[in-house]
Amino acid sequence: MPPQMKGLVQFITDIRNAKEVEQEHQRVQSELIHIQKQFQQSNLSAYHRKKYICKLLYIYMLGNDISFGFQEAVQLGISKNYSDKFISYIALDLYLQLDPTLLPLIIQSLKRDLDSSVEEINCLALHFLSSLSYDSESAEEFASSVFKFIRSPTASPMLKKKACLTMLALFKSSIELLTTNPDWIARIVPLIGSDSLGLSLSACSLVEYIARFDHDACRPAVILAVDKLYRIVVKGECSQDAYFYGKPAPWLVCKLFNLLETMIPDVTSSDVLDTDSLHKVKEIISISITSAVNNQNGSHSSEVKNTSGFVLFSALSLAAHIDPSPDQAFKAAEALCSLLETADINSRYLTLHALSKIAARPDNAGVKAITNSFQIVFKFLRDRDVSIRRATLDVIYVICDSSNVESVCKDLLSYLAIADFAMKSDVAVKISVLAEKYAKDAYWYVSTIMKLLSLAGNFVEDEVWQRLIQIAVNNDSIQSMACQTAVKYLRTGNYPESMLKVSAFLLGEFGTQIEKTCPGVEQFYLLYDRYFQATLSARSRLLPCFLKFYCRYDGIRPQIIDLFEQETNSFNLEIQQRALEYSKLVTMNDKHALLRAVVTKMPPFTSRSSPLISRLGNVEGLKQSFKLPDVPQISMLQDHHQNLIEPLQVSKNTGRAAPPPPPSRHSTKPGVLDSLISSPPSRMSSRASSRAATPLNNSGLMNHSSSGLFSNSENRSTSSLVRPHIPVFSPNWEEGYYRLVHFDQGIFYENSIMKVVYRLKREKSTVHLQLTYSNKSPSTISGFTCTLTPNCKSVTDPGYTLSTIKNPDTMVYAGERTTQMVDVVAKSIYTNSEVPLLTMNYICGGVTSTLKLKMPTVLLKTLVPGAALSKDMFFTRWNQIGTNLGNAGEGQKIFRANRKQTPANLKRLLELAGFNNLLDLDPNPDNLVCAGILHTTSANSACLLRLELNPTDLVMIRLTVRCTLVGLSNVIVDTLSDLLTNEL
Amino acid sequence: MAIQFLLALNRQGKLRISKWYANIPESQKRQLIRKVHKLISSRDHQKQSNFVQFENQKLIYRRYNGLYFIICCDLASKDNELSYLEVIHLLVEILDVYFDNVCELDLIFNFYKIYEVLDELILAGELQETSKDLILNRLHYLDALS
Repeated sequence: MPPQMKGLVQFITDIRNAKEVEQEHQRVQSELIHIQKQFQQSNLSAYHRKKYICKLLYIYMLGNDISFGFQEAVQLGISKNYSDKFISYIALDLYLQLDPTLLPLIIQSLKRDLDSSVEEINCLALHFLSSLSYDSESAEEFASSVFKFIRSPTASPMLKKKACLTMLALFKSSIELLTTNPDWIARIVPLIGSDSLGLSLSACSLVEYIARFDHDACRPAVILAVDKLYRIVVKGECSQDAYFYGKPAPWLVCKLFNLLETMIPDVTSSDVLDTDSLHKVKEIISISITSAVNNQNGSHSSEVKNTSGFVLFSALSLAAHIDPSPDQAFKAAEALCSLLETADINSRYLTLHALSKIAARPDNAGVKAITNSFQIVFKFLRDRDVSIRRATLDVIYVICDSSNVESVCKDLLSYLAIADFAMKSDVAVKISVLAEKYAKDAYWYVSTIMKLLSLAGNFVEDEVWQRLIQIAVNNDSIQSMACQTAVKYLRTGNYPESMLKVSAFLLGEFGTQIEKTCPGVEQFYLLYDRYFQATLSARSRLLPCFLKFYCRYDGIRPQIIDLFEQETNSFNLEIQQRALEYSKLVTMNDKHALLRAVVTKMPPFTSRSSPLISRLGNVEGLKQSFKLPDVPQISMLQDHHQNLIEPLQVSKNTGRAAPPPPPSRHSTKPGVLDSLISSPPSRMSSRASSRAATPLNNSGLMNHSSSGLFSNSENRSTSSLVRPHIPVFSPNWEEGYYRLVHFDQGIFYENSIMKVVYRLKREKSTVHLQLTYSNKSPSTISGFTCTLTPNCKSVTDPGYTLSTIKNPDTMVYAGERTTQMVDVVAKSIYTNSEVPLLTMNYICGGVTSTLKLKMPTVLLKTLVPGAALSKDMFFTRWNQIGTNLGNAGEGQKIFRANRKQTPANLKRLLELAGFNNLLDLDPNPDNLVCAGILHTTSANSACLLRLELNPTDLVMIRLTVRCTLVGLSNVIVDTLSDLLTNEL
Repeated sequence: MAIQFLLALNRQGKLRISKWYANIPESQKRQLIRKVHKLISSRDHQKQSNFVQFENQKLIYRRYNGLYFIICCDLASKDNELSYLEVIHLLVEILDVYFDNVCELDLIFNFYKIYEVLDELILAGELQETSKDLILNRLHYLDALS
């Protein structure tokens, strides 16, 4: 500890000795005056300036406002002394929080500190930048300076990790930075493999965030993360200082788990993870879980338990994504349920969250297991900790589906009666959403929501009863029943005000439908009698209702007119205006013509999703985590919240297996469900046919799912963040490319750091690739990833599939090598411009490098020699293709080879390409005639070829190819002519 | 955003550490601190968990003698609550070594030093370094500079 500043210590002591608030206040005021005076001195030393700024900071922390000192803080920053600069930055951080417009005044000094050659000064500037809130312009301003540290070969891991997280802050302010700098990602991702665990940790957070916007570009992170985890968890490679209560690098392990979760939302639908890595991930998870469970049991300290606990729950969370077998999910859910009873409170809380997660899996496996222990789970709604109660409610919400919705809602309704105030609103929202989502019976839905209103009407959000109204308006069949239920509650005389509001709407709109059981006049008095006890917001809803009654029933008109007139004197503007307008309308001398024009039926609602969804908190997000991150459009980023609504719906409805058909007792009233689900009520279809289709769908009463699904997929394909894909290959890519289009093995690429040797084996439509990477440099290559991707973003489905058999190691020591094995399977015809792209990322000597190479796996590599054909047979087939396919079967090109050729050379070249040379078929001995068979999984094709070399110049070539598969001959002609004109 | 803010409050609600990672308007901070203190001090420390929902976020907190250490994070955060609880413990362990048996008074008289410690542990709301030795070595190194 450096010595403290005496004056500051004295001041703090004075404050602490102040016996009363008043005394403290006086001391602060006199100090403020003193500081202000000191600041006016021209020759204030840095030490004194620092001391006074510290005092100001302390005064602020005591809860006082400070209005001066910014200039002094800037001044202090000019000092070369570290602690002066440090205090200056703390103060500036505060002043900028107080007034963000000050930023331009310090941009210059910030940049100077970022450019400083002293690492500690760079760090201070990065700390400061990481806590600023930016507009996108100033984010742009600093981004390249921050990226400089990430890229720099000389920057220490310390600087790099700080730069990574500062970059994260910048991205959060302005994700456009990613679009304008697409090459940054490839430089950031390899840092995950860094030896410095702090840097790896920071890079993980950054990549995890980027992956939400550009999932594809972050793919190499999966292999790096798996490798890092494997080293730490399985091989136990972790330095002693990174252990925390017996766990190796627990936070890094969790961050890597999180990253994998983001990258692999659902292993069954994702090709991100190859078999090799999947195997490793399972081993990692299983070891993490076993060792954590062991620590949970013994008599360990709470720190040991907590630490292994958070690793355990992260592992479980990832396991829900990785393990595709429903059986496993079932077992995991059962194990968790048993853990519920014994665990301590914190673990119980997390166990409940883990249960929600497993239940949210796209298959229903977890739900079944939890349903068995439903009573145990339900018990925790009565836990004494509100956090546990909320977590329990989330679990219940997630496991509810159409098979158990009635009993769940019933239980929740009875819980509502005893729930504490903090929970009531949450419970009400969830009942409301569940009832709507899984209702099999419209009557049940209405009675459930009405019961909900009667029980907790004063606690529910307005959206709950508004939603009921929307659904009633859009569904003719439930209107009379809804009115009757409303009357039932009104007659009891004891109901909350939200019931009054709903009833006012329902009876005003549909009251005529129940006149037989409850005459209109009675309906009116049920509402009217409550009018003067009602709040203003209820009154403003009752007034239009009375206007509707006025149109219908003569007998009560005088009373209604009286009321309107009386309310024209209301103090409330809303009420007064309504009353004025209504009384004018009813007393107009036009035989109520205008009134009838104003009072018409409510048109159907078009709002697509329930407004309640946004009030669900994070439970819906659980299901989203099993999907690839949606790429939000930039313009929508600001609207983050609204944007969430629809995709969330999707996951719920498409992710879950279709609800089982309703039990048979519902079949006794078939019409009910149908009218809700399929056929729009006639009134709507006649009135607004374009809208009629929207409000109905298959899983609930309203149609969030279909529209949500649509908008979701559209979001992705039109996403503005997916960069236009024009591959730029690394310099000197051609040499190796043409060499290996020509041959099947050889040196593919070489630079001062590494050498890549390529080997290819043909097996019908599959080519087995083996790439060997040798480290030529004197230092270790780390963060090494090689990914093959289809190089055809314009075509959604390339003519081949890529499957990784083995990934190369992410670490290659000097002089060592590693291999990658990939199978390419030709499915159909693909052109040379569609061949896969190899992207290599690595760090060597602190420099992050990226190489992009075009793979020489052209379609021609699935060609094998054809049978030896006689002259007659060859020309018969040649002519057959000509007559059957015409021009579509033939490809021809005349071109100039880039060097002199001999027939013998060309013959060897064609044999290497896979052709069978047929000798003596052509009268001219310099011409070559060949046959071959090309394999794809969809079709095989005979390929006949004739090559004529100009004997005088030996460079002009005419190449003619005929194939039985339409479109193939041109691809072959292109490949061979490209090779002959470009080979180096 | 992972961590929104980190606070240390004593039982009377007096602020000892505050570090804001999310962009929270200055005018709301004091009220926020009061609400957090009210919520946390009303909870039973034997029979309730160390986590509680707070507005649309969650608080992870732990009491060390008279001092509450509180981390507030996003509801949607993937990091689980126990891991934040241990971040708090890591911070306290570091402070304990750094100040040689830390007590509330150390935090008061060296309030500006705490920022230095935090900046080595957390940045932009994300965990930056978790090795106690590395952080302590770094702090001693920085002390030697001034």
